[in-house]
Amino acid sequence: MKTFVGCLAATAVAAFLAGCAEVPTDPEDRAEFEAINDPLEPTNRAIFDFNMALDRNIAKPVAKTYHEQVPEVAQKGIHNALNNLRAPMTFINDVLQGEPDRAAQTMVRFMFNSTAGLGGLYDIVTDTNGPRYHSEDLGQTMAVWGVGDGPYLMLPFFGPSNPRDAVGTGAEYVADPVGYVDIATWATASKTGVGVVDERTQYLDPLDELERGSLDFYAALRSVYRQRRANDIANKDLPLSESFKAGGSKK
Amino acid sequence: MHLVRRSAAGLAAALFVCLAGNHPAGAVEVGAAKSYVADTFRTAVATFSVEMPKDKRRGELRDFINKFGDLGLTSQDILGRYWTRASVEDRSRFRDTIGDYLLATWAADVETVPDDVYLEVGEAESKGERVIVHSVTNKPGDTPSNVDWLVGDRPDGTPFIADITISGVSLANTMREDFTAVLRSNGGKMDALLEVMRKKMAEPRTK
Repeated sequence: MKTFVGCLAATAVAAFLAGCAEVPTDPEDRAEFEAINDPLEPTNRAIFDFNMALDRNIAKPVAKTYHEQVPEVAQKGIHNALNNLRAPMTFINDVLQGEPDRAAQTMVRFMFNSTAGLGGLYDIVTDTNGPRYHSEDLGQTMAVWGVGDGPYLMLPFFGPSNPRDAVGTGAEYVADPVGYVDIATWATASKTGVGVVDERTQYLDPLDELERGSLDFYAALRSVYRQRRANDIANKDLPLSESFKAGGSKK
Repeated sequence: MHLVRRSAAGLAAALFVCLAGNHPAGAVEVGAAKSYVADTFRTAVATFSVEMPKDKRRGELRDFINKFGDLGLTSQDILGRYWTRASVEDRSRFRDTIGDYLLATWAADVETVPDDVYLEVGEAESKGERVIVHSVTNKPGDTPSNVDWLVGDRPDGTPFIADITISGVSLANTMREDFTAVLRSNGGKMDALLEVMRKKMAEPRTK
């Protein structure tokens, strides 16, 4: 058994090394290589191709059908409800990040939307000009605590990530309070399945546009993922004091 | 929301050709930068909120790019260090192609901009010799989007849009990573990049 495990480990290490990009010797090339921080690029690209095949054949057609066939009001309700179920985890991360105001917003939104919003189907807080939805996760919390993101990772099924966010995603799966509510397994599975379809639906247009507008979709997606993550971590509020309006003939 | 986002991304691409590279420029005044952003947005909405045939829209976009843009400086910024390495001839060939590429890809997604979309121009901050103007695009009933505009000065003192960042994603950074990835995987050869660009432009625009 030990020999078998040893062989398996050796094979995994060999596969890992084979999937590493070659470090350039030219100083400028090397600096660029380090800035990109994607040492596993060959492996990541292979996984990306796998993910894209899955997306083209399963996820995207399902999301398109959902988007085209399910009434918009139902889609919005489902999206709102899923966001609402995310609130307990967001609240915990707001607190862990030392953001009491945002934690209070999450709490208020959860309370009102869960009750007056019929279990979260209606986002009445936003509709009445209250605080808008925001999401926080453990990866963002670790970033706030100073944990670096590490090299770029393309995860099978999950897509763009990095070691910090991958650990965060795994830990949240275990820690999510919603997971401890005593409901049937089929309900949990349904929530996960609907969540995947809803999320893919949200990205139908943006991902199509990025793919159509890029020469190397892998590189463009890597760039966009990192920029969006940095933006999410920064929690930038809209700096609109002393603002003025431009455009909009009806305004 | 998708319509607004698609229009915003396409317009951003059109405006992106106003990009300037590392040429000498004076510091931009914050107030002037904010006014310039507002004027640019008003012009964009006034031009592209009108229904028109696709060919005419493409012409309008080209005019918009030519009016506000500088393809040479755009090329310089997109290619970064590869621009420095490129021969004069290669630079010229790339400069001649990038405008058509932007029109055929990003700008091709520009649809009619809703005429009730408006921009809230907020605070601005200096970033070296340029100014970042923070703003939010709004359309009644839709989720607002943060848009940051990087405004710089041309050598003649007139302002220009150096980059547009929508919800944290900079168009300049994204295109730079995209284009340099192709160059990197082809030994830095401009011929290979231009060939990939031509193939991309020839792709049918289907969803």
